[in-house]
Amino acid sequence: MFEQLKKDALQKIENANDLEQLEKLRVALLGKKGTITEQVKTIGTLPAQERPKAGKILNELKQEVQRAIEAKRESLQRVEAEKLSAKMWVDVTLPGARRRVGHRHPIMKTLEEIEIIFVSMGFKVVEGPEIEDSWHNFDALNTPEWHPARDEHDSFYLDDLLLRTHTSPVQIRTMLSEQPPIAIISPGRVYRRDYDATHLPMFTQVEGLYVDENVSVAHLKYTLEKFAQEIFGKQRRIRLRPSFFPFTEPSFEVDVSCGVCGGKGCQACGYSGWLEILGAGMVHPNVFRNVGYDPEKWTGFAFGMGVERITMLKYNIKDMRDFVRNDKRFLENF
Amino acid sequence: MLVPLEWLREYVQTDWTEEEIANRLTMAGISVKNIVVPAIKGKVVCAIVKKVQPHPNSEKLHVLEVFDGANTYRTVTSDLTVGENSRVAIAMPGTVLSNGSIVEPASIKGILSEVVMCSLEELGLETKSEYVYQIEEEIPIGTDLIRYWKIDDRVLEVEITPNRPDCLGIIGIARELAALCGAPLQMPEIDFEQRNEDVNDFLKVSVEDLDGCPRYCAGYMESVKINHSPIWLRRRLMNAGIRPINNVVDISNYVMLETGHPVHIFDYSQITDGHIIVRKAQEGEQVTLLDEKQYTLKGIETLIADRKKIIAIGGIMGAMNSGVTDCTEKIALEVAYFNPVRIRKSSKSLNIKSDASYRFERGVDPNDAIFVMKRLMHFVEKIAHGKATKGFVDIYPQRISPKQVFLRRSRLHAVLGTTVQDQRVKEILESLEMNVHITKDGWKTQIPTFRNDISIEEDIIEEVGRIYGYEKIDPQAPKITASGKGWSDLSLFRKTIRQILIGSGFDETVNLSFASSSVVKDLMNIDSLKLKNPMTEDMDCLRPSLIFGLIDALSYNVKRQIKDVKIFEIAKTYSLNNGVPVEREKIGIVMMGQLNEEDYTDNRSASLLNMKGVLDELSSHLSVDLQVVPEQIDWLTAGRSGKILLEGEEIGVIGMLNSKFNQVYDIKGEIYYMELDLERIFEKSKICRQPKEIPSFPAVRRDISILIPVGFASGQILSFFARSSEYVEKVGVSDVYKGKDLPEGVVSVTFYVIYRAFDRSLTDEEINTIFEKTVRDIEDTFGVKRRFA
Repeated sequence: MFEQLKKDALQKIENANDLEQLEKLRVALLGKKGTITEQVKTIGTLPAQERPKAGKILNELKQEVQRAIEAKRESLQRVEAEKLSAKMWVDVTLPGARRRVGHRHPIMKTLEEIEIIFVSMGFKVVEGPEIEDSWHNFDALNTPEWHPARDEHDSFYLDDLLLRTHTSPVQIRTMLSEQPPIAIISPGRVYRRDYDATHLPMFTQVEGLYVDENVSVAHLKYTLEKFAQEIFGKQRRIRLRPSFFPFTEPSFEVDVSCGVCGGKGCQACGYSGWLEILGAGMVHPNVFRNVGYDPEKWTGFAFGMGVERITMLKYNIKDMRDFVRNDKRFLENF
Repeated sequence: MLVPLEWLREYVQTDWTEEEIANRLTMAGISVKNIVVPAIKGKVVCAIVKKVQPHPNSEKLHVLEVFDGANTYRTVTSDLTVGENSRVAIAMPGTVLSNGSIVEPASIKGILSEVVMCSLEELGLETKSEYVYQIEEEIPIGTDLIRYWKIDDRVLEVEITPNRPDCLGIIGIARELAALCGAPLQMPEIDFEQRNEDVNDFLKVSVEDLDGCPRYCAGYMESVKINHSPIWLRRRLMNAGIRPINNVVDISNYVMLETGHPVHIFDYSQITDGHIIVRKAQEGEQVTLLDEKQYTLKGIETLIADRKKIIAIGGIMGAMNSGVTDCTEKIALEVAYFNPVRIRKSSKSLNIKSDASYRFERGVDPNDAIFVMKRLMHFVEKIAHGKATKGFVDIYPQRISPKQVFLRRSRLHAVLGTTVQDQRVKEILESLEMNVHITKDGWKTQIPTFRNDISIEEDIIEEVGRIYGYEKIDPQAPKITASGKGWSDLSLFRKTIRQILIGSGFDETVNLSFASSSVVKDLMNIDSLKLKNPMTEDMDCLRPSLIFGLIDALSYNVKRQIKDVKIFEIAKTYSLNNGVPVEREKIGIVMMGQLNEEDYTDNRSASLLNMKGVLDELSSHLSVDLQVVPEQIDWLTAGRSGKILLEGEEIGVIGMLNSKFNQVYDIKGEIYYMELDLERIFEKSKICRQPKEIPSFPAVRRDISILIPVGFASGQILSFFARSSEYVEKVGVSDVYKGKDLPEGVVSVTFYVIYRAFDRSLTDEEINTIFEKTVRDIEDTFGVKRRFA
């Protein structure tokens, strides 16, 4: 009886192209004046015994059409969503349009780290000139002109002046202008006539000085071990190997235990278990006298390290010249 | 210095292994860098030649039968001097010889040679030798020669710090070892005969230069027979790195290595009247030394001379005319003490570094001269059959006495930060041959004269510390009370700039401070601060601009196909100001290639305005007003350069490098560069400014496009707008347009102005009036026209 009506309705629903069309169709079928609604209204006109049956059939028809519309709506909504998404589509697997941020130079990166370690121990960063006179660079540091120790400081000269061979002159300048207690580190560029895989004619040094009453070797040992552990790792130990510098007495080379073998000896440390990282010592009384400090009242320790060497050990860099070549591919690692 | 272990053990009995000796010496400050293991390994035995026959296939070879006490071996040799009953050192198959070669049975012209008869070179006893070594000593046939001659003895390679000349002799190192292991130091024996004739009958010494030579000790010996040295002496010299010459020369080297005190031996027959005169050189005197080179003297040297000629430069090197030769029979022996500073000056000015000068300039013991002289005579008698006369000539008018130093107990413990037992301190100091007397407060010590490095209390504290062992000192945290913040304002300012630049995509570089003065002159036409002693010609001055250095980094990358480079450096530049060298810290920035290489949505290349963008960003962050004024600068490209002003003062430059840079450094493409004076910007910067109040009333914006001809500085219009009304909050440019619809040589620049009042909303009408008037004023003032009239 309503077969044709049902077939037509379902066919039209199936053919609906978009949500708008479907909504119109729903109104046309199930709206107040919709075809099916109109049919329902005619039930009352049927003979009484037919009414329940017709009512049931029509009700089922109405529900079926409603379900079909719902199903179609969902399907159309999916299609619409897909269309929308195609319009908005960005391939997020493409590389990002990157704004490249630059890189710190490895020497500066290590230097910053060294500074932070000592500053947090109470040291202050002080700088000074690169062009020095030989009094500040040598004589004040208990290294008179004909001292053989000058052999290790082959200097560049500019008439009467020279390029500092270490940043120790900054210590002298600081002591001349301030009274103890003093705790400073002095980073900066220094110059020596040497150029190969382990020497640059210009390199970066950090020197440190601590002057107070009753400063001892035990204090030096604590400070430098702390430093070594902060920069290389908590497991590291240091040892003080007696050495000689004209401006300290006693003097030491400070070795750190090898990070590869832990001190047992391997190729990385030349089978000694130790790597030399810095020079240190107790400030020589003559240095104090030269700056007008009373060596009876004040004692102190000083140390000096090459930032290049520390960086090479930390990052396993073999050729010191890489630092001044500035190959972009090298710099991008830092 | 090279220290043969077997030699070292002659003076100290210890059961420590080589490794332990090396480690303990190192930890006492005698740094052992390496333990050298000789290459020789295997079996070398003493054998006797039983039969010598010609080689059937060669006239230049002999075939020999040699007997080692058990077996007879056949060997082929080209050394035709080896005869029957000669005793030789034969190396068995598998033996590695000193020169690295391995012995294998081999057929030589059809005859199988089973073993090798060694030369001195192959035994490591000579640097070069062509003959088979024929043994002179009485050694039983069959003796294992590697062990007998100890030619596989290991050698310590030791680095001696400049303060320890006493350790430039094996006895000095033995003394250290003895102190460390608690064994006595066994001084070597002295045993020789002195004849009755008085030395003064043969030798006379006059010292005129007492300052240069405070002690001159001389001896005389005759009947000397020059020959080569015995094997044990050769081996010790070779292992210590000195080539054997002849017995007398070898003895002098040996005694120097043993005692650390250089000596010299003259051929007595060459000394006129047997009269040695020690005098100061006169400037311009000439002498030919044993290195066969002629030297002109500076007048500071101490000379050993006779009435007619110079026979040595004291403490440095002997002269050719008086050296020991094969015919020498009579010798004069010198053991002197020369002034270290004078030796160093002379050695530097003559550019001669000898084993002798190296030791004298560090300071030898003036008081061991007689011991050293006796040791020399002992060997000359034993090895070269020399006969000594009675006594020595010894000119030593002002005796150098041992120093007395008092070590306070309180000071020792304060400096070391630990307590060392009194008795232990005494033991340590005595083991180093100091004379020690314990008092209530410390130790009264007398320092032996071979320790010229010890003169104050701290020096003795070091001695105690290094023998006691620094590993026994417990670390102790210092209570640092020094005040002040960690970094100076300048240093924090520098850090900020580095962060801005790195964040803007620039890689930080570190470049050498050197440049080539000729390149600087060529490119910038300025004179640079020259070094007196540069390493190379291309590093002969200090760079006047950071571009030298930065451009080397750029060129290094470009040559490796890295073409997009944005780099900077913060460092000193150097110049001369009224003859005084001046260093100033600058910021140098280089830009080349793609602007944003990692951003493929942006294919713009570096440009001058992008570089200026960096400058403007710095201005904004650092709160300084950095202005660029067009200016033609020689080394920058015409039309693309400017100077940077800060409050009217020139503090930098910006621009594109001129093509000469491209040529000199072989780089193609536009290179942009900017350099700023860091210190000047720091002085003017107000990083700590107070923030402006955030306005609460709306802004009004107006835009206008104005046609700008080439060469016109648009900055003038920006400033004009900025000054045009009290309501102007900001002026800027939103577009620069170059189109075909515009006349040639003209661009359209769109300016915008933002107006705002702090206390009310501005009306469109009042702003229209102000803006329109300003634009008209601009047109009148600068003769420019708006694009859409």
